[in-house]
Amino acid sequence: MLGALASGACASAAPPRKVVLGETCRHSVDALDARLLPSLPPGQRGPQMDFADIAQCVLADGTRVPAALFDLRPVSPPMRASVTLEANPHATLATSVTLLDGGYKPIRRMGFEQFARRGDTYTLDVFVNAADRGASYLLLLPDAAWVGKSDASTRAGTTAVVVPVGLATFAYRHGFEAHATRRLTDAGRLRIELAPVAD
Amino acid sequence: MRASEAQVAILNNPGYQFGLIGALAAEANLAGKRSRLREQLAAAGFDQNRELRDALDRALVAKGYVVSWPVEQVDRGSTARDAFGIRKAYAPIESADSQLDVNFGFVGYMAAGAGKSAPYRPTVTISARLVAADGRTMLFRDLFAYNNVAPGPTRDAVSVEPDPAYVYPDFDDLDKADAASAEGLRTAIRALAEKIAERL
Repeated sequence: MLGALASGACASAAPPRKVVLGETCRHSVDALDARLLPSLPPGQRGPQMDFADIAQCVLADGTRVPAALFDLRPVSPPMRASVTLEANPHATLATSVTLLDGGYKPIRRMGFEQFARRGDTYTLDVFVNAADRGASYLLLLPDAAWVGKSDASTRAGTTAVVVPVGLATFAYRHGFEAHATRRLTDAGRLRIELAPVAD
Repeated sequence: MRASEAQVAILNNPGYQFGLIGALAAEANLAGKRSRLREQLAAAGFDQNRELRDALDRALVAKGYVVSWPVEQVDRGSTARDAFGIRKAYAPIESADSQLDVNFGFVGYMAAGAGKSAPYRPTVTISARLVAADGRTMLFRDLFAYNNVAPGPTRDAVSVEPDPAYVYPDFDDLDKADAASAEGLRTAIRALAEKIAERL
């Protein structure tokens, strides 16, 4: 009797919830409710959030889009906001990240292409320097240039075949190339961690 | 940076599953492949250290950095380093604002397994650390991997997918590729150099 075990290249995670935009839509970013982000000690992970739970509807160029706004003011610059997106095969949030000042004006925008792919996540560190003292909010908006596309990744997988040899067993491991595709969407799971950076 | 040589690796190599004799046979087989790849790269005039220097220069200058390299790019002494080649200590400098320590981990061709379903692809890993001129303040550290198929420490490295133009179902195909094998590695090194500059 042979037993085969396979370890694939990616863990199958439950799909994140789809974003449902309600009837009420804010006319501009400054009307969005801003979520507070706690400052965490080094090494501590922030809670994982489902974008569907935190997104609010806002009109962007007349189009209803989901958006999430975070308040950075509890932490003084220099600080780092680390955005981590779960790379889920069903739906990976392809978001842009924009640093806004106290008047909700953009200071700088980082598109989804600036996220680094790492294992089963995409990460982006936004450094808010002393020169950015007006920086007050972080705005997440699905990046239209990437939503609807997909991202492929290659990993090694193994299959172990267990073979009885007399009274013992022998496990023969066979390696193969495993390919995974992640759908880039306007939904997904994420973490955001805010931490001061020493001068 | 520390010295490095082009390598050939097969993950889950069946030869290593059959005891000492199997492992010796597998290692002898790989040694032959490594020699062949190194001959091929030398014939193409490929030098991974020069490629990394050129690629980093371009990428960093494009970002506005002024870069100066030590006279000897490769340190062949006994400098204390960690498993990724990163130095354990740095001397203070006055000639620049910061020091960038970069090292190859793996540079060569790797297959995820032994069959045709696991082709050889150019594979490069680079570790990078930026320290301030005082030699003590760490400003940045990260790991970068092109064709990040290997499990373990590079799992959470900044990853770049391999260019599908350089894929070889078995070693004979790689052997026949001649100068294209060097071009595959050059493409990999340039991609990682750009990622390093992007993240600094």
